[in-house]
Formats: sequence, C-alpha cells, structure tokens
Amino acid sequence: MDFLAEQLPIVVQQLIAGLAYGCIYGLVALGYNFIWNAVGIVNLAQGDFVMVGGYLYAASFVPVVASWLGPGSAGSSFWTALLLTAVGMVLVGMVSQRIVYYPLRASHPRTIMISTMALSIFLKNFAIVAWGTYPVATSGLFGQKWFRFDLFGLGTVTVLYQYVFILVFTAILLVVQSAFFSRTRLGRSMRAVAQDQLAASLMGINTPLIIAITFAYASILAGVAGVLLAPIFLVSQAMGSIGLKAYTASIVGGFGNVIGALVGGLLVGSIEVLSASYVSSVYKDAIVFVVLIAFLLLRPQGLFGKKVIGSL
Amino acid sequence: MALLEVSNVTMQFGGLTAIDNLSTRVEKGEIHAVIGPNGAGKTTLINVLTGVYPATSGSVSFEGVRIDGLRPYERVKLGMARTFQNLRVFPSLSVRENVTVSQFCRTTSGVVANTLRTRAVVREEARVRDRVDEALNFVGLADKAGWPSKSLPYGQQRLLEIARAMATEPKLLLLDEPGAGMTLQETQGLGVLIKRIRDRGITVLLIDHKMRLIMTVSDVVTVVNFGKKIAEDTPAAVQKDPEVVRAYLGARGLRT
Amino acid sequence: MRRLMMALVTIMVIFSLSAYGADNPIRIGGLAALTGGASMQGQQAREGALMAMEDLNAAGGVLGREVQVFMEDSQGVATAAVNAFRKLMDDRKVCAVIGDHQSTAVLAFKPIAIQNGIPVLATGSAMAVTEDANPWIFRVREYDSLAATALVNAAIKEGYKKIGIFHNTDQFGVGGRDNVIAAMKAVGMAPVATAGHNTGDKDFTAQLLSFRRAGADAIIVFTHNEEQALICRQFDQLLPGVAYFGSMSLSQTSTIQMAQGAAEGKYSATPYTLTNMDARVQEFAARYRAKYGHDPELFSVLYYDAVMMVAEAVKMGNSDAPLSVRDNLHKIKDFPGVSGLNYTFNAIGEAVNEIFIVKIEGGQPKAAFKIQG
Repeated sequence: MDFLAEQLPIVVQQLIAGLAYGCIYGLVALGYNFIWNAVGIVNLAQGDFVMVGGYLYAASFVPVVASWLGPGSAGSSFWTALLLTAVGMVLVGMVSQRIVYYPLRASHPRTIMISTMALSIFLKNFAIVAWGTYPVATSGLFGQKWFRFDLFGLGTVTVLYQYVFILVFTAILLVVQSAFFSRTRLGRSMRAVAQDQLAASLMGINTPLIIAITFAYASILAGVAGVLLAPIFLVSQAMGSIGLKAYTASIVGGFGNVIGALVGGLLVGSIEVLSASYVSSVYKDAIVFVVLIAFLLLRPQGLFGKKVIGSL
Repeated sequence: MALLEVSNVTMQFGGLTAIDNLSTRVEKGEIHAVIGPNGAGKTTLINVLTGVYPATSGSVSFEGVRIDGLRPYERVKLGMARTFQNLRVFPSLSVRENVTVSQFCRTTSGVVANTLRTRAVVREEARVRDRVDEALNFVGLADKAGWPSKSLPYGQQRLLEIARAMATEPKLLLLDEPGAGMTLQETQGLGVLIKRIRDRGITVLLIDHKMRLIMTVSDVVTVVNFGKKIAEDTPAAVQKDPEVVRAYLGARGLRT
Repeated sequence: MRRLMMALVTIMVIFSLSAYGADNPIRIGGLAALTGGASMQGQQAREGALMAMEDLNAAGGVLGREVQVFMEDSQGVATAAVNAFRKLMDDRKVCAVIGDHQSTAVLAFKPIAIQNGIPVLATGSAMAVTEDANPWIFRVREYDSLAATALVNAAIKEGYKKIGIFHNTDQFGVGGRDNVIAAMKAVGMAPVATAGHNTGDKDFTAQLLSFRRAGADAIIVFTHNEEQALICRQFDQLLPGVAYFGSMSLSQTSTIQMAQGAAEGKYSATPYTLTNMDARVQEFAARYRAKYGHDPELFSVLYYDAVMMVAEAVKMGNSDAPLSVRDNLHKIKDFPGVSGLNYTFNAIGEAVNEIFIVKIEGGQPKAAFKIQG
C-alpha cells in the first residue's frame, strides 16, 4: 500500500505526459484516416507534415511575428504564428496532393503510396535546405514552465504546462471538428466523399476539390501537432518519425475510424511512457511496435474498425 | 430539340465492345425506358451518360450542349441525376444528410461565407432544409429522416436514392434498375412514383428488367442487345416487333 | 543508337572534367553526415573543411598546386559511408580521407581503407577506431575513454560520490557507459544507477526519476546534441540539486542554445572551447563567424585542422601519394591547430591527448580545468 501511495503521483505524472503525446499521435492519426477514407491510401509523408508544421511555426513564423508585434507579445504571437502555420499547411497539403496524388489517382494505391514515400524523402531534405540542420528550439505559450499540484497528499505531481495545454487544445479541436463534420456543408460533403467517392461525384459534389481539401485538412492536423510539440521537442528532421507512432495509433484504433484514431493515440502514448518507466526505457519503442505487429496479426481491424486492411 | 441526344456512342473496354454505335433521343417530359438482357450494356450506357466513363467515340448532348468532356458532378449541375443498380447511399450519413449533401450542388455561398454564417447563408440553409423535406416527403421517408441510412430496409434505401437524386433538382433522372429486389407491391408503388416524377416535369430515363413496370409507365422503349440498339418504339409496338421477339426475347415471348 | 552515343559523350565529358579539368590538384576527401539525423555536426564539419581548402588556396596552394576538398555524405549510416568512401577513393582519387565523425561509419569503411592504402583521419571517438594500431588509421578527436575518465575525475574532484550514468543506447553511448564504469572502477567506485535512452527520444522523465530513486548526487550523460539538450531541460525540474556532467555534445554552442538556459551550471568535457583565449582559437573563430554567421564547433575546427595536417604531410613528403602522406603524418610534431591543440600522432594514431572540463556559465562553456590523458 505504501508502495502504491508512493508510486501514484509518479504514475499520474507520467500518465499526463503519455496522454499528451497520445493526443498528438491522435491528431496525426486522424490525418492518416481522413486521407485513407477519401482515397484509400496511407499517406507516408504524414509524419513529415508534422515536421514541416513545426519548422514553419518555430523557424519561420514565430521569429517574424514576434518582430512585428514587438516584445511582450508571447501570447498573441503564438496564436498568430499558429494561424499562419495552419494557412501554410493548407498550401503544403494542396500542393502535395496535386503533385503526389492527383496525377496518379487512377493508379494502384501501392503506386500512390510509393509516391507519398518520395514526398516524405523530399520533405526531409527540403527541410535541411530551407531551415538548415540545426534543431530549432522554441518556447510556445508556456516555455519550460512546470505545473505542480498535490495529489491527495500523496506527493507532488510535476508536469509541463505544455502537456496540459495539449490536452485542452486537442479536446477543443475535436469538438470543433465534430461540429464541422456534422454541421457544415463542406464537412458533410467531405464525409460523403469519404464514404463513396463515385456516388458523391454523381450527386453533384466536386470530388477532386473535396479530396484536395481533405489533404489540406490532414496536413493542418499534422501541422498543429508540430506546433504543439515544438516547445517540448526540438524541431528537427527527426520529428517526422512521429508518423510511425501515429500510424500505430491508427492501426490500434482501427484504420479509418475517427474515434479509433484518438483512442489509439492515447493508448500508444500511455503504453510508451509507462513501458519506459516500468519495463525498459530502451525498449519502449520496440514495445510500441510489438503492439503494432500484434494488432496487424491478431486484430487488423483495430479496436473500432471494420476489416479494411487489404494490401499495404 | 431533344433533352438528351446520344449520337453514335461506342464504349470499349479492352477488346470488349459494351456499347456499339448507339444513338437515341430522349424527349423532354417523357418516360423513356431502356431494356435488354443482362450484359446488354444498359448500365454502361448510364455510366457513359453520367460521365463515369468517357465514351470511346460518339457524342452526348444535353439541352443541345455537348457534355462529353464534363466530369460527373458538372453534369449533375446541368441537371442530370441518377440512382444506382447496386445501392450506393452514404451508409454512415443519416437519411436526411444523404439528401442534404445532394442539395449542396444547388447552393451558391462560398466556404468563407459559410463559416461566418452570413444572413445569405442562413437564408440559403433554410431553403436547403425545405428542399430536403420536400424530397423526403415526396418518396415517403420523412418519418425516417434521422435514421442512419444503412439501417433502412432495402426497398427504402432505393427510395432514398431517388430522394437524393431529386434533391439535386434534375431535369433528367436516370434510374438504374430501381425495381431490383423490390416486392410486387413495392414495384407497383415505384411505378406510381415514377409517374409522379414525370408529372413534376422531370424527364425519366429508366432501365429495368421488370417488364410489367416498363410496359405500364414508359412512353418510349429502346431495346438493346450486345450493345446495339435493335428497336425503339412505344411499348405496345416494341412488344410486337418480330426482331425484338426473336433476337432478344427468344421463343418464350414477352412476360407481361 | 543516338541515345547510346549521347550516353557515351556524356560519360566522356564527365571523365574529362574529373580527371583533366583541373590542373592536377591535390585531392583530399571528407566524409560527414550532411543529411539525416546527425547532419548538424556534418554541416559543421563541411564548413570547417571547405574553409581550410580556401585558406590553403588563398596562400597559393600546396606544392604550387590547387587543393580540392571533396565532401561526401555518409548520412550517418554505415552502408552509405562505405559507398561514399569508395566514391572518394575510386572516382575522386583522393590522397587521404577525413572523417567520419560517427564511429559506426568509420568502422564500416576502415577495412577498405587499409586494404587500398588510403590514410584516414577519423573524427569518431569510439575506442575501436584505433585500438588495432593500424598505420593507415589516425584520429583527430578525443577518444571516449579520455572523455569518460575526465568526467569521472571532475565529478570526484567536485566532491560527488553517488554517480549515475545516463547513456544513449547506440555504439557511442554504450561505449561511453563502459568507459565511465571502467574509470570509476579504477578509483574503486561503481555507479549507483545506469539508464539508457534511444536516439530521437523526447521524454526522459522515467529514467531521470530512476536516478532520484537511486539517490544519485551526480549523473554523467553520454549522448548526442539533441537528446543532451532535452535531458538538460527536464533534468532541473526532476533532479534539483543533482550535478550534471555531459559528454562533449553539451559543450557545443548549438546544444547550449537548444537547451534554452537549462545547460547553466552543468559540466562537459571537450578538447575545444571558445573560451580558450589562445590567439589561434580566437582568430579562427572570428574569421569563421564572419564567413558563416555562427560560431565554429568542435567538428568545424577538427576538420579544418585535419585538412591542414594532410596538406602539411604532402608538403613534407613533396608528394600526394597516399603512402607518402601516411608516413609524413606520422612524422608531424606539435602541429598547431585552430582548436588550440598541438597535434602529434602517437603509436596508435591518436592526436588528441588532453581535454578541458568546462562549466556552462552565461551560455558559454567556461574552461574549468584541463585533464591530460
């Protein structure tokens, strides 16, 4: 019992970090799912969109906006830079799909996926050319401020403010997204295209445009993930590797399933952090990928999904 | 001027000729049926007309305008709508949402105005709601509006497809075997519905196997076999056409 | 047929350009990770090497001939490093190769270098690079056990007794861990805890808390720049009052910047520090800043010095034949580098035998004391 009481604050502390990472994986996984639903491919550059978002925010917009707004404007420059990053990601998503997907849209999905793999390699090297090889540090809204609270007198929990911010921000984003998909014309058209592209086209929906918008939206989600992570991570090329974790989240939740993406993300984030603590910090990535392989073998439809995994 | 004019359309898939130099005219206000045995190229014809496949050769004009190069959704905007032989409702959208997304092609406000919810948008949304209600009432699905569409029984999913197509405000409605899988009673109701559609001034191009349905509702019947048109006349005349009887219906005669 | 002709012509043009285009220059190869995860260090290396080339040519070249430095991308990957090495050897016909700064890469192409007789001035720090004392293999960097011994001695000197080890799980980090354990054993100590992390990890809470549970009063951290910076940022909150001794990467300006103030008060070990007031160091740093707009780092000066030493060996032997370069490199005595070090290759090819313990103060690594190997 004493042991439990002693461990509890540490577990809570790590769980908060795990859930925060989980939210990020969930956002990126949602991007995988939207693109999968719309055009039936896995966009292998999704993780690199996170990196591009991080760089756009930390290396391009934050310095520029901060110099516009002058000192003491951390809050407004964060929101402005976030908005500019989202706009930038719309362009990234639209242009990428025009070059990587659209000319190949009639080809086998595997062909298109190779093409997204090429995009991934391109973006990594583009980042070196555009932003250099030095990882970029940025402070975001909260910098390195830590939030402490007492857990029922058992001990102090110490977490980064940024973790809490990620949880709140993601929750709000998901509510807005759900309203967007159920209320707005664009959102409902996107759902229709995701369910049946041909039928949607024959009901008068401009499907190529909706698909481009879907790519743009997936790209915004990745970009937002990059912005949220930037103050915790350093922004570097290596940020793209988050794509694999998010892909795991997608598989765990059920590829194509919106709720599944989030639940999968939260699970993967928690598994990662807790296994680092209680199994092995060295093998935590391996453990996550064992989960991935286990799901692919035993439950390829994931927790919430239908059986959709055909040929990847 | 015919509403729809099909001139010498040929559609080949590899070496297979699905439609062979077919020409026909659909006049405004008529119910025009296309019949033929399985594999005669009827559904392919609808796919060519709606822009799913580009024809190998020949041309299609709608209200006197060539539409060969247009994408499916552009043809919908001009006033062509269709249903599918194999049901293709949006399964996870509700019945109402299915009809609503099909109304969107008649809206004019942009994304920005839509997000800002300007007064014009609010007015337009009210109009969309009215049209959707009207379409649902028309096929008799108003009481199921909130249902997830995949939970509707088969026959009602067919009605939903018709409501959805009506919501695009078409001038020409192409019905691809709307009676498939329906009971006798449902089929009779469908016949009445098709006439009501025509009575609203919408021209109907109907493809089906059910002879009783075809013969009771159609003004003109086109008979195709192996992608070729072999006859085109009133239902009564087609039934008596010796070539139709010999080449298509065989010795069994017409099942009426 | 026409296409074939075109191809032939293209090949001939390329050949003529590479073999005869320049007036028989002195060719020196450089290997560094110009892309990939370690590209930050790789770009520093490239900048240093190219600056050495420009300086040599501005002074009239070597033996009256132009010096050409060819930098190839090892991507930080062993197979890519082997291919890049072969390209330098076979296509560029270089007389010596400088790098790679990652030991895994060096160990991959080392047998090829020995077999073909190309001198290598490696900048990776693993013991295995030089331990077989092959005459073709040199090292222009501190070796891991030197850094590990220095960090252990520094921790003991500052009065810490319960030392934990936090290491990257790659070859560099594991080698560092083993060297730290060996250095502690030599003075009759053992680590109170050891923990590992992977390259690319971002959250170190679990491991840092394990040091707290073990009651460590100091930890020695062997890892690369990005992880080092992130560990510093999380360390202060989770292990207040514990001392921090980081491997060389912590002494680099870029790491200190990435740590956003969290590097303050922490120790590191490096053969090169900008706070060394040696005139050579300051003069070079000023020129480097003027040229590239940022501070030189360890690999900038090491690659610069290595190019200069190859040029010196060519001059001494009046030849750019690889064998002559090798033999004359062994004869170099107290070559003054812009790193502030004087290089003399010992029997196994090591040139760096002293290291500074630095403490980060005001965003700068201040030299605390120097330790001889």
